[in-house]
Amino acid sequence: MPVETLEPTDEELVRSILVGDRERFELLVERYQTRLVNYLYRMVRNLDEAHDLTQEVFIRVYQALDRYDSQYRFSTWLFRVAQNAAIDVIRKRRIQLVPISRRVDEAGEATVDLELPDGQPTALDKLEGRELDASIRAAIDALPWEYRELILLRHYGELAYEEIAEVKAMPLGTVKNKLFRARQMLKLQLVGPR
Amino acid sequence: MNHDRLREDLDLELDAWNGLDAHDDGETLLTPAESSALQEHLAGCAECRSEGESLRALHESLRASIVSPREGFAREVMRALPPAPWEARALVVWRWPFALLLTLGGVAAVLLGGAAAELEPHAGSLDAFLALARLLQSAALAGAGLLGASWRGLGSGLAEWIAVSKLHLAGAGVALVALNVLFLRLLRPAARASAGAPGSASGGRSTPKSR
Repeated sequence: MPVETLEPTDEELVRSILVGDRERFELLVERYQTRLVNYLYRMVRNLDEAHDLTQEVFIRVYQALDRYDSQYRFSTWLFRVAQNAAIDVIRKRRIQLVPISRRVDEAGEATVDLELPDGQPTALDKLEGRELDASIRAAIDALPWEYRELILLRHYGELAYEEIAEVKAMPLGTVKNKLFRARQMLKLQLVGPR
Repeated sequence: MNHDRLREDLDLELDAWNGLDAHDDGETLLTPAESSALQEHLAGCAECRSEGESLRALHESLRASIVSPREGFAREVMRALPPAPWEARALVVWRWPFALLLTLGGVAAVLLGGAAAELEPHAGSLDAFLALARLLQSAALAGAGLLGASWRGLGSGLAEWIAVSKLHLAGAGVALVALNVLFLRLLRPAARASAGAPGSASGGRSTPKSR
């Protein structure tokens, strides 16, 4: 009979860390490092900076681990911290930043547009053979901020729809609808109309 | 079923196919009925099949753009992790001091019990216990008395010394200020260290909503 090896849940790991098993935090880091690095890389657009920011996010979360409430998902807490950290970095940078403007979307909700520098592939991207990455980056950057965030959370943070709904405090239906629209826009840019 | 609705279903189906829900607690994006209706429609609709291929290509492109963290990154994070304020309260931190205290207490009890048994071989356990309690009480009273007396002695000595002249009074004032400066200097590194610690995890923003 095959022996099932049950991996501890995030919440179980947090509990054991809080009673003093510090090394268990490494399991959480291993579990989320790829997703966080990718999500933050797409947010801040620099891989080294994304690593530094990921480290900072893990440190912040560890420092406040005793305040984690296990009735919430650990992943949504982690990504909220990551999202806030990335937005702080983007705001601090202020390179070619257009002022943050408020607008109203089709559903009548007030949304915030964070305009970022255009994501056109640079010569260096091409030299290093990163055309695909650069074109994806350009296509994602061309999305309105609210769609971009959802695409990053879904495809780079690899969050489930419900987790995204929690992180963004949005109804699940809205998340599904916005992701659909965002992918339609991306498809047009990357694959073209068929 | 209209094409717009089917396109949304197709998008969800392909998103689930993309395998991103591996981290999820079994989230299904389409019901089995919706999924089979979609498959049925795709079999007879070239336009939707083409749409599906475009979406699949998009998912593959997104998947291909995922990067790996640098080698040994998790270890790097662990090495950079400063002790958290809550660690001092963790049970495991107090495990060894508590065990040591218990052991020392046990040894002391055995030694005292042995000594008492030698002094009063016929005394009962309760008498021995009461004798021990009286001994501890006397020791505590004697300690407190000594401490009080020494502070009183020091106080009256200082008062006499200050009363000798104004110069003595000024000297006492200078000594008091110097002591305060010394305390402040001792406290300052701790204040600097705590100011450098990372801020709250939420970065001052709201916490996630309930599941």
